[in-house]
Amino acid sequence: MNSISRRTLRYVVAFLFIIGLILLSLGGVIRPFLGIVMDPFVTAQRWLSERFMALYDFFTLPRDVTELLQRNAQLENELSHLQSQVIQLQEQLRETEVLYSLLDFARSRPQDQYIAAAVIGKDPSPFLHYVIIDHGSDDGIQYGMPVVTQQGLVGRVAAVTASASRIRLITDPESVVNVRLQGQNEDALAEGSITGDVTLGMVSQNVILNPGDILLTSGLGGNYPTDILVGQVVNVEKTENELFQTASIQPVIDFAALRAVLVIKNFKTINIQPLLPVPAQ
Amino acid sequence: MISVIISLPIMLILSVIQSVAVGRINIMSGSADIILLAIVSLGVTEENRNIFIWALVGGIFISFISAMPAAAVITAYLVVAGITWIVQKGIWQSPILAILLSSFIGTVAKFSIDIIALQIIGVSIDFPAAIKMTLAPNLILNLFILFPIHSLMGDLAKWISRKEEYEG
Repeated sequence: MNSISRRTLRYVVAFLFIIGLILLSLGGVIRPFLGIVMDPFVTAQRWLSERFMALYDFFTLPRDVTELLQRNAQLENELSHLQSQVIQLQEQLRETEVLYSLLDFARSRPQDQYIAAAVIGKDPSPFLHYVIIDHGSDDGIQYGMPVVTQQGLVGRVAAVTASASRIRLITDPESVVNVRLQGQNEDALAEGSITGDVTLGMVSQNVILNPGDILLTSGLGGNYPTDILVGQVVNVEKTENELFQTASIQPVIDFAALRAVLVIKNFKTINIQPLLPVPAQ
Repeated sequence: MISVIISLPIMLILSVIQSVAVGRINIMSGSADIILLAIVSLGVTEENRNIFIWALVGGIFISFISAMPAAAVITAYLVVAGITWIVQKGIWQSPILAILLSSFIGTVAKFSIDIIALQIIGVSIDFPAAIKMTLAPNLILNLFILFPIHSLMGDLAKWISRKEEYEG
């Protein structure tokens, strides 16, 4: 009896002690004491955790770098693929812009019929100024047809094969274009040269030439249609004792960047050679 | 025989490259001439014995593209081949100096033949402007791409030589 009551008493004391601790804990009374006990353990755990994570990173990072490198290479491939697509699309956009411009030009001159062609090459000789286009006699192109762009006169067809043609540019030394000064009833000749410069010749001394004057085809000679823009006057050379004055012309077309052209297919060139007076023998 | 057969596609490709790309890269009015440089490069190698056939084939292909008289183009390249052959065989044995000298003299010779041909067909030429705007840039541009062409054509000549020895 005695021993049972003592054991029971021990349990009751222990129970009360635990209940007391719980109540004190809930009341926040023992928190400072717990802090004093737990803080060293937390500090030690933090220190150990940091070292462990450092060690973990040390062993796992190389694998991650490899994965990142692979991923980077993959993304770079995708990027280069997309960049090439962008370049292709930009190229197509430029071509479309050129074609739209040509279409606008064609619509502005409904009396003419055109064949659009791409420039695919240049004459290898540095002395001659010709370009090669990707349309030929199979497409209806014939010798002598005038060639233009939306900006102005390019030249005329000088040679034709079934699938390609050679265009003599107005900068070629053999090219002579009959032109007139816009706003003035004066005709002149625009002549090319081996250096690609175009010179205005056969201009009477009475004509007042100014830099910036616009030159259009006159239609004389029957080689080109009328009123196609050729270029503008840059420098005027007027010498009193000369019969004619001359001028340098800046063509409206940048021939180095020529990409597409329009061949006027319904213009019939006229051979006026039989009509020219024959010199007396 | 292999050399003759292989000259057709190689010169065709070079002619197209000349028309499409190289001819459009200009300094003033001048541009490089890769057909001329290919002939010179092949001519200075010991292996190639058909340099005149290469020059003839190159001249024929270029005359298809160019508005220059075909006879002038073909003659010019044959003269370039002849100059290279003389320089390589008779005057200068060092390949680098021979190629430099051959390309220089060849460019001037081709320029002269072109000028004469243009004069014959009635094209008026401002001679000082032609030298300043065309010949000088031609020489500079040819010098720029001379050695890349030389290394490519040198390898090609060795390959042809090995094939011909194997076949022979």
